[in-house]
Amino acid sequence: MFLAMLGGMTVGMIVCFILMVFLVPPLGAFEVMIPLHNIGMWGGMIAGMSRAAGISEPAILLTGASTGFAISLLVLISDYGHKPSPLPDFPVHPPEAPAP
Amino acid sequence: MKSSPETRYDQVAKTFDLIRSGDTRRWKEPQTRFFRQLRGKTLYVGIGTGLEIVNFPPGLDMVAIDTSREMLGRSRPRVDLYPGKMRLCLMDAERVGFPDNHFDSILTVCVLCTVKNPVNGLKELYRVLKPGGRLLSFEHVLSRNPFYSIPLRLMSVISSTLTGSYLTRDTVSNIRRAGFRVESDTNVYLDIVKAVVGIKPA
Repeated sequence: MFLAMLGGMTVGMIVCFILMVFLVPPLGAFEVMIPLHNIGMWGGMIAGMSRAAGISEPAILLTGASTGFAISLLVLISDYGHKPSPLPDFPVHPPEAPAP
Repeated sequence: MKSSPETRYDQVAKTFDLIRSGDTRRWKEPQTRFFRQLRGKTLYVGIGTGLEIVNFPPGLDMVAIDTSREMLGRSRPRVDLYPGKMRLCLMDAERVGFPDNHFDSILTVCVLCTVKNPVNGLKELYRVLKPGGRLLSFEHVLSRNPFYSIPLRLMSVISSTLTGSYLTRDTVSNIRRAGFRVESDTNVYLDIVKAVVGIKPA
């Protein structure tokens, strides 16, 4: 089971790395890198263990898709939690003189 | 044989705009707001191909530096369109050829990840900044969350080899270590992309 988990994680991360090459230019480096790495890692581990446990392929695919969706959602929520919303209008130094 | 960062950036220059197109679009609005703080004589460290120039307020007196000749060449059309003064110089952030207390503000955009010794580079920027002047850094740093820091550490191995860019730097602490007082530290994406303002005490 442990080897299946490790193998699944490795395959998942390799697949996600290849996807990253195509997705970074249109979507942005960190916005792609962070969710995709976690999807590859956790999704791959779950898929590897599921396969070793003899679970059917459609069920594994569904689990992988759900894991990916859940991770993307968590990263999105986490991003909202990290920054003030909307981003502040940064103060200007020295303050701009009022228009005459 | 490992090539120098200058050579690597010369090689990356051709595809730089394509690789950064997503980030450029995504960060346009926060950068435009952040760059409004730039004032007077400004040093722009690591201009690259000049992707951020469109986000600058007009009328600044800028000196833009980069270690890559190829990048500087590619930035020229964007520099020419800037509605203000902008001069280009081939220069390393760790050896800035300007006198002490010369600039009113200094800007770095995703460049402190590539400077060989970031604290030394920041100390050099501290030297050329006037007392009371502001360092504006729009940079990516290592996340404190392990779910985000593991991918960054893994990718840093690849990015540092290919482009000399490290994803594991603690830039906010480095800014403090160089002598600046950190006035604000705003997250732009998770706790990875940040807009940091440092002040050189008067």
